[in-house]
Amino acid sequence: MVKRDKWRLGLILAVILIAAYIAFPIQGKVRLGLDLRGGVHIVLQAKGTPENPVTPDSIDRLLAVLRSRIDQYGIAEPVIQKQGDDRIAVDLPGVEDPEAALDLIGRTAVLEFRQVLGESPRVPAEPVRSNYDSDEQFRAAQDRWQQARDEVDGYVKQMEEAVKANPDIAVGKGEDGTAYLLGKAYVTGKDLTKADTTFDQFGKAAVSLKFNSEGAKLFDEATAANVGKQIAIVLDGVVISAPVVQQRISGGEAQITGKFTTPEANRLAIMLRAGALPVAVEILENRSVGPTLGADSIKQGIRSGLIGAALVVLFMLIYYSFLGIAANLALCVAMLLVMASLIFLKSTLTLPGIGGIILTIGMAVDGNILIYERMKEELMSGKTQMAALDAGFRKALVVILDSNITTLIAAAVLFYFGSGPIRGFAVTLSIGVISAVFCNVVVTRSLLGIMLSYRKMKTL
Amino acid sequence: MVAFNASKLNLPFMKYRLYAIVISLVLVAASLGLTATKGLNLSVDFTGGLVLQVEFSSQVQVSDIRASLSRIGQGQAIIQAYNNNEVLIRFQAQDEKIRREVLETLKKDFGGLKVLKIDKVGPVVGKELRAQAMVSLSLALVGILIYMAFRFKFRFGVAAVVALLHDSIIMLGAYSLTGKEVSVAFIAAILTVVGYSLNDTIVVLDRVRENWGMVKTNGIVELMDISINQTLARTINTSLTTLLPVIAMFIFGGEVISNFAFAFLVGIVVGTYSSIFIASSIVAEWYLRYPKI
Repeated sequence: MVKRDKWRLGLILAVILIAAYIAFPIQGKVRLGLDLRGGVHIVLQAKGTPENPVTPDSIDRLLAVLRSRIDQYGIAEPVIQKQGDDRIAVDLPGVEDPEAALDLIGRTAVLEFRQVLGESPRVPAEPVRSNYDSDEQFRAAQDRWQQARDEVDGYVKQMEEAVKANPDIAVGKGEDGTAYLLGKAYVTGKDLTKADTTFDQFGKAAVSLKFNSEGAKLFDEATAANVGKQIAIVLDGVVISAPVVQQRISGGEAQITGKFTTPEANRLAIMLRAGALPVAVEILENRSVGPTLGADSIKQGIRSGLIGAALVVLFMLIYYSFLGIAANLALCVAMLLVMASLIFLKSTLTLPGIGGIILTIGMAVDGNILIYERMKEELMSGKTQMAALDAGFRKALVVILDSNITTLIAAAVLFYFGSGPIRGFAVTLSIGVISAVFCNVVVTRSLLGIMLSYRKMKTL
Repeated sequence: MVAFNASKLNLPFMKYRLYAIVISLVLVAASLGLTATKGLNLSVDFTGGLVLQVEFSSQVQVSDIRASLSRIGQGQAIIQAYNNNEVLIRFQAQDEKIRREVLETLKKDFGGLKVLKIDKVGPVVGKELRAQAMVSLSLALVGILIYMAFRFKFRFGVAAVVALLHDSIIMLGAYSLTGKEVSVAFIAAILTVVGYSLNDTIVVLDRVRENWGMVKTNGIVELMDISINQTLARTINTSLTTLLPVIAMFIFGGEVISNFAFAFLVGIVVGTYSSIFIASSIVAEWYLRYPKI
């Protein structure tokens, strides 16, 4: 062994040791993308109005409110970031119920206590066929239901006329379809200090509220003025309930009851505590993956990777026998380096990223093939084995660099333009290509150097 | 080492260069025609819309799902079953309300159900992703062209890029023909194949450059044949070793990875062919017509 080989061998051993130290044990160390671990990825678009335009300040407040809602909901490791001027991307790993998460972050949650100026009749529940004995009876019930709805629509039209004349009032609909003509807001969610989930006397989930001093004063005045009348509790324009005020309430405490399930009441309490979104948002993009699907993907990815690697290893052994061993060892080192780099760089492994790794298994030995074929030619032209080894590496190096640089150009473009999973692919591909070149040029070379000095290659 | 030595075969590739060019022209024309007439099965990434992947607790017929969805006015949804209990339902509309309504209706009609995956892309984002895909494809091609121009003679660079366009167009044709879904991942696959299949072209052209001294004595056609034969073993072996894991991904990788691997599969096969026949034929024909370089 020459001195230069010793240096090279030392370098390789150091790299392998460091990589192994970083990568093992691999369980739980690789950061998995949402498509593998399951979770929700949402892109929100802030929707300004002429009175309430989207400004950098409102986006910052929007971020703060979203953060607070998500933290209070108890999601570990959320990622909430600005995208461009008026978009926010939210990543919620491990969320099992995407609907709940969407409800939590997509709702504006403006709470108002408003005067009730008028109310339409209630709309009865839609008739269900199984409750009627004959088709005629069912049809008659359907007609009655339609009539009731038309009647309400008539009321709504009248109310809308009234609203046109007076912009301070509004029409709000209850969840059961009843329409209300709403007067000015007495108190809003801004004046709350506390909101918690409780249960009413019937054991149904409700939200208890506590106002600040300003809010308590306003609420006191509102209840005093409306004893025996209704006050509507309105959330984002929808009337949750419109209870009749029994007596003046001066303690600054109130309770919202509606048709909530306990989780819904929990979310509402969180939204009220965190505050309303300063601007309304629209969900532009929503990609949610359940945890089982992700686990399946990982399993299938690992299986196809192992099968692919086995095929490559076999091919190299059969075609290049002795030289193939060196290439296969270098392949192992390359894979170790890929995993260690992923962990060290804290990159996210995505499903296409797994594809990228498997692809690099095949690409990693390409460099070896280029070198070996070149060595064959050099041997045929009458060089000694060591000289052929040197010349083979030297001449193949240019081509190896050329071909990998073009792959890196493609990966760089993908990284710059891609999002989420595709970015993950670009990262693993680049890491794979760089590790492969290192292994081809440095690892294989010194392995062959060592092997040659111990064993005379009779026929290459 | 196996006794087989490809460099001694001396296959007369260039003899068939005109056939190769004609075959490639036909393939490219067919691919463009297919893409224009039959079109591509664009995923929601590009069209905007909503895809729900749902697992039912028991076996469910596609027709029953359609009947159930028709009642809420979503009968035109594309429903695809992929094993006994799992279905993929694709909607053009991507309203939040519609998703909620659909899931509630399905829950009511079929009992236990688990949402495995939701992919909702708004029309604005779809348009942006389309634009991004176009920009990244062109940028990658330009980047590679610049690199090739810098490293090789101008004609070699042009030949390599023509071969790349050839590969990409035939990949598009294969996706149109099979009706496989074209998603953002497909764009990633095309770009990767573009970067990768250049490897073989570079190996061949690099050897042509090395042998360029022979052009006066042996002529361009023989020079090309010699160079292709000298590099044939590495062209085939590098493609083969990359193809092996790709085939494993295609067969065992599962829905998403398999679709992704199909692009590589087609791309690598076509890329290997084009680096043997197309890039070198272009250089040869160009030289025969305009010998000064």
